[in-house]
Amino acid sequence: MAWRRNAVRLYRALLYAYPAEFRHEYGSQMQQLFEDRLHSEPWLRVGLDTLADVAFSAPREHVHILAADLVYGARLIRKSPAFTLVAWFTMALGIGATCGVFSLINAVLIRSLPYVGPERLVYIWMPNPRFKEIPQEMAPFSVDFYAWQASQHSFSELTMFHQQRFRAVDSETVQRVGGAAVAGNFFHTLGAKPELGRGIEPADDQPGHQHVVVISDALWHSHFAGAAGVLGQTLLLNRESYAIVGVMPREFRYPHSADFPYSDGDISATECWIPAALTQQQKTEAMGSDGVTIGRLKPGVSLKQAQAEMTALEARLDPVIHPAPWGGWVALVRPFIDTAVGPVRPLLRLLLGAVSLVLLIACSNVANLLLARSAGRVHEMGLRTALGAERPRLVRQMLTEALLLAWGGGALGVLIAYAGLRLVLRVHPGDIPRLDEASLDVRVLLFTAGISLITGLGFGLLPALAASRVDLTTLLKQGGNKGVAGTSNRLRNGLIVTQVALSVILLAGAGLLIRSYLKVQSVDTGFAPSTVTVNLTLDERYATPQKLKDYFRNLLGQVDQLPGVVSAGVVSALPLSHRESISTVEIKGRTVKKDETVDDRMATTSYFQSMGIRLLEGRFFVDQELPGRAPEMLVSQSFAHLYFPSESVIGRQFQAGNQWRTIVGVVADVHHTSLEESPRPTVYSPFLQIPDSHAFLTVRTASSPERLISSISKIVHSIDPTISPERTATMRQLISEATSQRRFQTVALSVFAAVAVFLALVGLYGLMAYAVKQRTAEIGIRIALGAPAARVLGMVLWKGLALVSMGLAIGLSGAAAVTSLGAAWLFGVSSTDPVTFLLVPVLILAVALVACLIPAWKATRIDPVTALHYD
Amino acid sequence: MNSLPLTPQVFHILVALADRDQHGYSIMQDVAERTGGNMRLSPGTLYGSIKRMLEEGLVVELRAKDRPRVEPDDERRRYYRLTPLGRKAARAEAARLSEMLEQARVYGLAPKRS
Repeated sequence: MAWRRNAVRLYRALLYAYPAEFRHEYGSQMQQLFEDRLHSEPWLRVGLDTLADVAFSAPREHVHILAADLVYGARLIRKSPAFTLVAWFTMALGIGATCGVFSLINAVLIRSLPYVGPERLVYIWMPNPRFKEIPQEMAPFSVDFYAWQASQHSFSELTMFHQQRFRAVDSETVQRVGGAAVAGNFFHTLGAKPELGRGIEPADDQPGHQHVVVISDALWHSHFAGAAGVLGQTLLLNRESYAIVGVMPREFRYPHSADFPYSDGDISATECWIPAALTQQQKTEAMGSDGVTIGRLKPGVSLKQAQAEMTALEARLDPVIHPAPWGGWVALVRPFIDTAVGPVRPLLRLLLGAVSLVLLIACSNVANLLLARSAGRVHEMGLRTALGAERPRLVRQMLTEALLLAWGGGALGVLIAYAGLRLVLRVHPGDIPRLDEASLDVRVLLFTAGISLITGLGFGLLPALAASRVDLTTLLKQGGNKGVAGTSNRLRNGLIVTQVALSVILLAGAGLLIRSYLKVQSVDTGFAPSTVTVNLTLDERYATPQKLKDYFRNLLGQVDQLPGVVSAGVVSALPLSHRESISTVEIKGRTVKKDETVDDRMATTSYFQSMGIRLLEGRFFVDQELPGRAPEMLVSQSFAHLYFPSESVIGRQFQAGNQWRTIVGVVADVHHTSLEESPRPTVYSPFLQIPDSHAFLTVRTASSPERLISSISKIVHSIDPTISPERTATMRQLISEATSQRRFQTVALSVFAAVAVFLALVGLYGLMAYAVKQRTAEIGIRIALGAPAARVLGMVLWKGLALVSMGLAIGLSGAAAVTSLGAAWLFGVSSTDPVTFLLVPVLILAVALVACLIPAWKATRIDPVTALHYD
Repeated sequence: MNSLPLTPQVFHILVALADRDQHGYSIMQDVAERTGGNMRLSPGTLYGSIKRMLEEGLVVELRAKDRPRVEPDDERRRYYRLTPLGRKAARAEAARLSEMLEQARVYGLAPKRS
């Protein structure tokens, strides 16, 4: 009957769920049994029974084979511990590096943020296209924000905050904590829920009701020992008391220093949130307060639509709120997550690319080891084939062995990744958001297990296919010893060439980064690295210029008296401190392009001396305001070059702070934002004439900076106990921080390159040692026939170096292609830097020579008599 | 012998082979009959068990000349015979089971011997 034939055909197809070995042995029996049952039992019962049977027994047969193969593999591991250790260690390096990099990517890019639907969150910035030098990420003015909030339709919520540094006063200690003054809907917009109590609510965001605070989990533990009764207790912030109403969960510390550009670099993570509680005047003042603005897109509204609405809205508002000449502001909508992680994506891609190469090299290394071993197992494979084992069965067996090696390596790799991660967190790799949260979580472990599986199959497949291709006739003719040697030798040589090529690419990349790093390090910063700096912020009690002047004069006077102090000065914005200030350019008798800006600083004369900034022309200005004398100022060298390329700038008049000032001198350029950007034209006005409540004390000392720092802190405390230095650092520390990301990427890539070269050389050594062993008889005959040791040595060396040279040629052309893609990573060197591209082959050849020398030397020691008995 | 206690399937196959050599289908029918249809060995389970019993030496597959003569015979069928080891295993398992039954009786968990 037709249905019965079809049922049997279906059953035959189902039999493919069983291992081939089992199917071949029992398939026809099982089919017959199935047919017998179809004849004698109701078809529905047979069908259901059979489906259940296949679902249950087919996996069981696979598990049985796997168990047998694992036992066999384990026996092999026990039999050759050296082989296993080398393979495990090799894979551990490859998988460990991959696992470590993945855990960074996991922490920064994948792991979910402690907000609801972060992909719907956006920042709204308010740049002014008239000023090209001003960054795009300008916080909107409060007046614009409240106007948007009243009439926009794209966002379900729109909130704002500004970062604020507090002095949190305990019973005895004063601690600086980073905080944020937030609008009433801040937590609601982010969708962040407190772990204790409540968040800041709209009712708190009113003048007079603002004395409540939500604290971070970290502050809860450091100040209140994690006590459950913390709610309702009082926290003293900047001498005002706030009632604690909530505690945020451990992972919520928004904003971090790296969450958005130009965030307060001194606030690494936020510890407390208070209501902004702006007054009506603050909300409506045209150029008054500002704050970082976050919106949550309504469902169905795209970023583009929101941008279109905000552009139109601000175009309407701008002329009303900001009449000429202060207008020209626009609204810029940017994705929230991308703002934080966008800048570090290239770095993570670089690391991922580098570890992929390392992993490939590790895999090909182990594949090579397996090939060498499988050449020695020809006899075993031949025997098993003769006993009826089929090729798929042999391949499966060898893949299981490869997986044992991969998983062993993976387990060791996790340990390596753990150690590596601890090291990475210690070196502080620059502004990478949430990197400190990187850990080996379940996702990382699953990833590692998956990578181990894939790599195991990857490096196991070629050797398994090569070894299982047994030609019994040839095998018997050759006495069972050679079999697959020819094919597998070609394969092994190919793998070594690949390894060398890949490590050359990595090494060239690392070389270029190292050269770039050295160039950055040798940049003339324009200032002395040993200068000690102290960041000070005075509060509202110092609201008048006179009070500020008195404070700083008093401070400078006392610091000058400290033993060892050479010079002490004050500046409004210190290089590499992330503080910026710019001014439009107006030079008397000179028309400059409209809206052009220069960097604008206030400094004392002693600032230049304490920082070691050289005077190139003219003289320093006079600090004091002198009656009857025109106010004075200094300009930087690049300012002079830009505006007065062929004449002297001295005596020219520049308008700064609504006042015409005479340029009396030119000072050397300093790198302000970073060491890698060329210095911007800068003007300096006397600090003591236009003082600022935020300033940096700069001190040059002949003695140790550490001792000096504690003496300065004492002086600051003695002048006003409620003011404490926000941060003290030497310029060397600031330089180190400014170059930390470059240092991190250079070190990481160099480590990966070193691992790659090491693995390639281990592989090369293994190959050469094996080749010499394989040719023992031949070399023995040559020696017996009188070949001198030098010729034997040369023969082996030549073979090794020929392979390396091929790898070098391929690798160098690959490196030239790859590095040209990464030109953005380089500083001061071209992507085909001749020094790097010369040094890499020299280094590779030198170490390759070492790797080949030992097997070559061993070849010369072969005893002809033993060798002839060898085969 | 590493397989005591035996799985019910293996035990039933051993019992089925205790008095005569049989092929797969007749083992299946035998077991189904003896258990009143409660245990129906499907092909995968049956041959999976037989494979392991062969590996452990509990049964052997009969060569062509040793096959029982039955009419009509299908040459494709394979016959299995209990080995002395298989018999020993079945005995040991039966003893284990009856010991357990005895204990259950003592505690009134099974009907008394009639």
